[in-house]
Amino acid sequence: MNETALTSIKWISILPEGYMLVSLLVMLLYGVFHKTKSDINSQIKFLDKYFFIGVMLVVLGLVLVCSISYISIIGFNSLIAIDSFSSTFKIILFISVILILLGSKEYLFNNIIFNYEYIVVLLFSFLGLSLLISANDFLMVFVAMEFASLPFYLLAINGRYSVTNNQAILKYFILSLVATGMFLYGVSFVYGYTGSTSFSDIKTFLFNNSENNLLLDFAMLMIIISLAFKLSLAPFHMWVIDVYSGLNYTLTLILNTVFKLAFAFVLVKILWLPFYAMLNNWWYIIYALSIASIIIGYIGAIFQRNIIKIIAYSGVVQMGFLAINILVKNNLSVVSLSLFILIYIIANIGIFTILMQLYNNGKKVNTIDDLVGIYKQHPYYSFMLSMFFMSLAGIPPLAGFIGKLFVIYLAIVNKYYVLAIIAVIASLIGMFYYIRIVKYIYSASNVDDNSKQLEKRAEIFSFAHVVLLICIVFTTGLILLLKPITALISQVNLF
Amino acid sequence: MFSISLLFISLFLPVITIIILLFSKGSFQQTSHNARVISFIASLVNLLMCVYFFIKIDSISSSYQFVTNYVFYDQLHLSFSIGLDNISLLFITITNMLFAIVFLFSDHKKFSHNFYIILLLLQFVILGTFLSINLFLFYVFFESSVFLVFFLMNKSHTNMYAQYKFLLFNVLGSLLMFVGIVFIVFINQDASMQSLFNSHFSNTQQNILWFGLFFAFAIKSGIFPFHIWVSDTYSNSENLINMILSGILIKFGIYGLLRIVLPALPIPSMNYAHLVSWLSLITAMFALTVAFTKDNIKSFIAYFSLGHVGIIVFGLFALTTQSIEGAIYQSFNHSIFIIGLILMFVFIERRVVVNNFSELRGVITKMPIFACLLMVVVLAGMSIPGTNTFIGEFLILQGAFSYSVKFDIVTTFSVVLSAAVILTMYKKLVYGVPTNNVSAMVDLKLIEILIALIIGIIIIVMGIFPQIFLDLIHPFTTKVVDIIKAKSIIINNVF
Repeated sequence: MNETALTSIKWISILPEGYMLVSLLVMLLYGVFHKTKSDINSQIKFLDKYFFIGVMLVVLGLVLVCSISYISIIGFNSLIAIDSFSSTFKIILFISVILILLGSKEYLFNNIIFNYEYIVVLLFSFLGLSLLISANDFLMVFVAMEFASLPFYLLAINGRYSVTNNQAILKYFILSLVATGMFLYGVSFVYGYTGSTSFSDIKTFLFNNSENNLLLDFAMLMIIISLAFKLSLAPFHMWVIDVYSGLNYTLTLILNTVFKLAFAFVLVKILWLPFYAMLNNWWYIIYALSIASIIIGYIGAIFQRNIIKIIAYSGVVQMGFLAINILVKNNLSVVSLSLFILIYIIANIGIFTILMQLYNNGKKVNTIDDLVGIYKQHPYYSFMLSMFFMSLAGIPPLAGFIGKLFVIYLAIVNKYYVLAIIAVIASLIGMFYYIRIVKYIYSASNVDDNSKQLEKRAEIFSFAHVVLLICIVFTTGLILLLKPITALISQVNLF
Repeated sequence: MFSISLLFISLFLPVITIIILLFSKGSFQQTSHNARVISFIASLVNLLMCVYFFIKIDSISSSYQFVTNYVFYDQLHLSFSIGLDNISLLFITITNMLFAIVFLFSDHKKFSHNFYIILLLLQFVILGTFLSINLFLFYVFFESSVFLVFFLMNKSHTNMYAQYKFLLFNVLGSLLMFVGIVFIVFINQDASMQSLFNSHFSNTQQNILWFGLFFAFAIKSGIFPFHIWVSDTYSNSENLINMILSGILIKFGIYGLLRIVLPALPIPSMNYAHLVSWLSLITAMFALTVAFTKDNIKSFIAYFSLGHVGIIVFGLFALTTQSIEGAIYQSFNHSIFIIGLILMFVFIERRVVVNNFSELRGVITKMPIFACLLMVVVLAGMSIPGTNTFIGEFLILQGAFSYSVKFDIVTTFSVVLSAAVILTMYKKLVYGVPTNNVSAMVDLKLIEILIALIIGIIIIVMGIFPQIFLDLIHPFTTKVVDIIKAKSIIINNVF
């Protein structure tokens, strides 16, 4: 009996997470017991070293994820499931974490962090997200959700000396807990009705008893709403606008990219695995959420002049497009989901890295009027920023257009004509303010006409620039790299 | 991999020039002068390659030659396929000639070398539109041209009303075309232009698709209810950009109607031909009348050009061999004539900057050679026999006679109206008491005389020996008319 209990755990299913947990704890202990001299230089050197140990940790975790990515396991008494779909998303998660860490290193070190715990807490948050992606059970989803969010609250508190930051932290904390509470409420009803919280058990149960139960509908609605809240789908997107403008750039970037990645995967998995028998019930909800997000997200940003708020609204819109992919379950939508979220994450990492670099160079960009005439001092940053914004707008031939092409093609193949037309016409509204940003960047400013180009050759080899290079090559060259990337992604088998 | 034909090199020559220009260093004057010289040489080389294609092309077949094909993503039928058709050859010859003239007469003291880079990119995009066989590639190039022209309009970021108008109208059109194209590709399971001739849509599909696509191309050509963006755009850009806009970008609409709407949707084109005739003739009469009243030079050119485009679209939808041939031939003639007309105003602008006709009268006292060469262009505008526009008009009128007599009469009136308009303009500009700023003008220099003479000679040669060009247009036109006749026979046989 002990034998079967132990072997049904299948420890290899949490190989990357287990490795990361152990090494993070070791790293934390190293940070606690390490003695540095009290002068500032050696402290900075230690922080540098510590940071790179953290990045190496994630790189090794990526290697481990890739090593188990081609097998399908269900482990820990069906709490954890590894298959190629979740492995694809985990690989995207780890790559984005590496890019985020490298891109924001200078910004964090110059402006935000003064102690080593910041990095450890950040990596714990990522560990939670990785567990979230491999979750196969509602309770596991809840535990991983909290595992990811609690360290994040801790990180956010770091800026508690400014009013907007306080507001943002408080809003995020309270609303996020409310969302988790709703999720648990829904899960408890599901457990009461089906007798289990595991995805596969619920799936078999619902396929066998396919009567329409109002209580189950309600529970599913609660679960979808709480995930829609975390994903900032309209009309549950209000918190994003205020919270993003209150936090610092790195935390906003993490909240905008990897959190959405993990929660999007959880939403997809929940709707395609246990609740697939109730397709007729949740289809309309997701349809409504996606149309509402696209329209509200595009219209909401017309009058905004704060850059972070425009990026927040663009996140709402992109999640609306992502939700269209959930409506249909076939191979094309799997490829489309993975590709879309990858394109979205890379564009966001690019934008935020440039904003962080500009902040480091002394140019604080709050509103789009601050961006006027920036092309003279920072020609390369201006070009890359324009490319990333145009990619988000969906302008061909950049990567964002390819993501939208997949989504619109999917919509038309399945005869959702109204959705396709609304999505396409609404993106017209978006083009207006994205192009306005690009135009502002490249117009002559009235202030300083003798400013020389501030990007010197010696500073070209920094990690942020490597990250930017990767992002810009991906964004502009995706149309040429489409064959190999989709070949990598499309080796998935649907559950 | 894929074969690099000479056409591929011709298409990518502007891009290679851009890469060369990116490495140029020096002061503003030096870089822009170098940019101008290099771009002009590149366009001349491209023009010579077009001459080579003229010699080498098999003018009897209607299939694509010099094809290059590279598949991006098979499942969505995304591929980079370009090829040379007879009609495409004529259009790209005009494009290369236009850009050579633009580069020759651009003022490198006013434009930075970034301007030349965007102009070269625009040339690449325009060539790509005319050469692309894949519908998605056509859409990518079609929409990119809108954004590039947006950035080429005036430089300040404060008064962007005209730019936004241009952007929003054109992007709305191309987005609707996008949905239409995705739908066509999904139904046909093939994204190449040749497959459009074999498409089968149901009745409702055809009608809705026709309206969507016609809407898109009508916005681009400036047909009556969608002409609103034309005047503002032309008034707010440089004369050289106007040359590109009215010489080539308006022809995108006609090219799209010719390549996509007529082959794929012949039945709705027949059914709605009356509607299109009304709209295009209203455009012609309305635009020519308004041009009569305009004092601003650029507005005048905008409305005058729009009048002729109305007649072209009317000819296109009269759906007889002669009228379609006339329409296609007339679109080349219109390009050449408009290039000539705007070039004359560029010559004036190089001497004294004026905005209105009222500031500029009695030019002949100082510039008799200019007046002489302007007369040739004015005669082309009036469709005098002997000029190329006469051949186009005559073919349209003769072809449309069997379609509808009353529309034909209206078209004849519009020809008379255009004669009145342009002769009045000529009289006001050239004769009369000279205004103050005429006294500073000198007559045309050698290079200006040369180019204007070449345009004049082309106008007359194309008017006396049109058969060479009409033979090139004939194969595609017969193909289109055959498909219309075939589909209409099927309809008639069914009932």
